[in-house]
This record gives sequence, C-alpha cells and structure tokens, in this order.
Amino acid sequence: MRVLVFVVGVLFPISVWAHGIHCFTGMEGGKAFVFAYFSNGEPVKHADVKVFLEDKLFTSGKTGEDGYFYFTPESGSYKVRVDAGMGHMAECTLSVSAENGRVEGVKSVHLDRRLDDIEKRLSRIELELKKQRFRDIIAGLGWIMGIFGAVMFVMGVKR
Amino acid sequence: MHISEGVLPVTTLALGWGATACGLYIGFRKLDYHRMPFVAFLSAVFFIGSFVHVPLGPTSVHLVLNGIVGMLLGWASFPAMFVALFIQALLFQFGGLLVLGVNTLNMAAPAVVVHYLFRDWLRSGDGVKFVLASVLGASGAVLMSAVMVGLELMSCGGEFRNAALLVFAAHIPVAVVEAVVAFFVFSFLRKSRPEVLKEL
Repeated sequence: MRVLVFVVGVLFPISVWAHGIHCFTGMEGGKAFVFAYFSNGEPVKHADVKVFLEDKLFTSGKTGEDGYFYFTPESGSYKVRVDAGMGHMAECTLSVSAENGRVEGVKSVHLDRRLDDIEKRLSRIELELKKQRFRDIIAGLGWIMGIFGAVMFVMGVKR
Repeated sequence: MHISEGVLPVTTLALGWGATACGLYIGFRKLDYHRMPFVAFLSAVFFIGSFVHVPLGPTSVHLVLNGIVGMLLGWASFPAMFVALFIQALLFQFGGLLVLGVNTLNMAAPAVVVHYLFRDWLRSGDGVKFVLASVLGASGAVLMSAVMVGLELMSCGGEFRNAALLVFAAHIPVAVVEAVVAFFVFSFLRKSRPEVLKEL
C-alpha cells in the first residue's frame, strides 16, 4: 500500500493525458481538409499526410500548426493516411462528388451556419470525453485486478 | 511506444504473436500463487505509466516503466504487460488487438533481459552495484524496446527509416527520467521492503 501511494504520488502530478491519433475529413469552400488530433483533442502538428484516390497516391504533405491539411480534390473516393511517426497512424476517408459544376463533399461541414452553437457543443463534448477518459483509466485498473484475481482463483482451485 | 494497427506487415504481426505466446506460457508457468498480487499491482503500475506523457514534436512519448516492472517480475512481465496492453487496446485504442503480440514482445522481452542481467547487482549489498543496476536496468529496457520498435518499423519499408531513428531519439529523455524514478523506487524498496528485492 505504501508503495502504491508512493508510485501514484510520483506519477500523477506531471501527467498530461494524450495518446492515439485520429483524423476526420470534410469540405470547406471547394477545398478538402484533413484534421488530425490526439485523443485529448490537441492537434497533431507537422504530421505526414498522404491522400490516396482509388488506391493511387493523389497528393501528400504535412499538417500545419493547427493540425489541418488542405488539398483541392477531384470527384472520387479518397483514403487519407496521417502518420505522426513512431508508429502513430490514423486513417480516414472522404467521398467527393461533382454537383452543379461545383465540387462538394458528401460530408461537407457548413462552417457559416451555427458555428458558435457547434463550438459550444464541441467543448462540452470534449469535457465529457476527458471525464470519460479518467473513468476509463480507473476502470482499466479494476479490470487488471479482476483478471489477476480470476487467475489466482483458478490457481487456488487447482491446488 | 505502442505501434498502431495496420502499420506492420502480417509476417511481423504473426512472429510477434508467436513470441508473445511463448513468453506468456513461460510467464504463467513461473507465476507463483503468493506473488500474484504483486504481479497484478505492477501490471497496474505499467498500465498507468502509459498515461504520463511528455509532448515531443509532432507526437508525444509516455513513460514506459518496463525496466522497473521487468526487473521486479522477470518472466512474469509477459502476463503482467500483456494484460495491461490488452486493456489499453480495448479501452483506449492504444495499439490494437492484431499488434498486441508485437507490442507485448517489445515491452516484455527487454524486461526479462534486464531482470536476468541486473538482479544479482540489485540484491547485492554493494551500493555502487545497486545504483548501477537501477539506472542501467531501467534505461536499458526502455532503449532496447525503442530499438525493437525501430527495427519493426524499418522492416516495413524505407520510408519508416526516419521514424525508426526518431523513436530511438525520442526515448532517450524517457530513459533518463525512468533511470531516476527507478533509483528512487528501488531505494525505497530496499529500505522498507528488502524482502521484495531478495526474492528476485
């Protein structure tokens, strides 16, 4: 118990919760964007982005300071691969169809509409996710104890 | 230092699972009933260590703790780390189920190596050997894991060569931090629970 208090005391104050990367895509004024972010919502800066159109490399580049990468798409379905190095990688897709002479994303984000409202909802969701994450960590500890407890029980029965 | 799903080729994934299965078998065979709570506790410590992050460039590195946990557990590192990584893959999508074999091997194999290299020094009364064992064991395991991750990333093509070098460079600060943590943890154990080190 003393060891536990010691270890937890040493580790927790300096912790920053972040891990795993994710990405999503969308259309903004005829341009396609890729946004890459860590699990805690922080943008993934300067990560390599490769865009594939029907499995052929269409374009590539790096995300900016804000985690965004932009490209001008033709119509078709795209696969986007974001690589932040060290085996951290995420994939997402984007379908673009040409309609009314203008390239429009299927999952287009209408930034001009109700932006404030969306931002408020996003920050609320982010807060929820952070709480969820802490609960998941505690749950994980419980699982570990439970699994070893079950192994101990089985070993005890055999003895 | 978790490798994501879909990065490595199938052969590497299969080899990783094969080696991890062997490690798990030996680990479970060597598990002592009375040491089980200790193994579970260190599995939990290893689990939590991955949430302590140091931001670095486009990505971030976290504490690994496989040296500290490994020196105390030996072969039991395989089950301890496998369970922790399994839960991390399930709850947080760190790594994934297909790469779980490779990820467990990367963490636990160096752990077993440092256990057998340094356990005599760790339980000896000699102060200098004790300090060297804590520092070299903790940092050595982290760097060995980084080299393994690097080699695996290189195995899937030239474009990952830089990634491999980056993994190693990024874990030098982690190795230093863990050497210090290990020194304090082992000193603490040596003073208040010397029997833990004697049983290694």
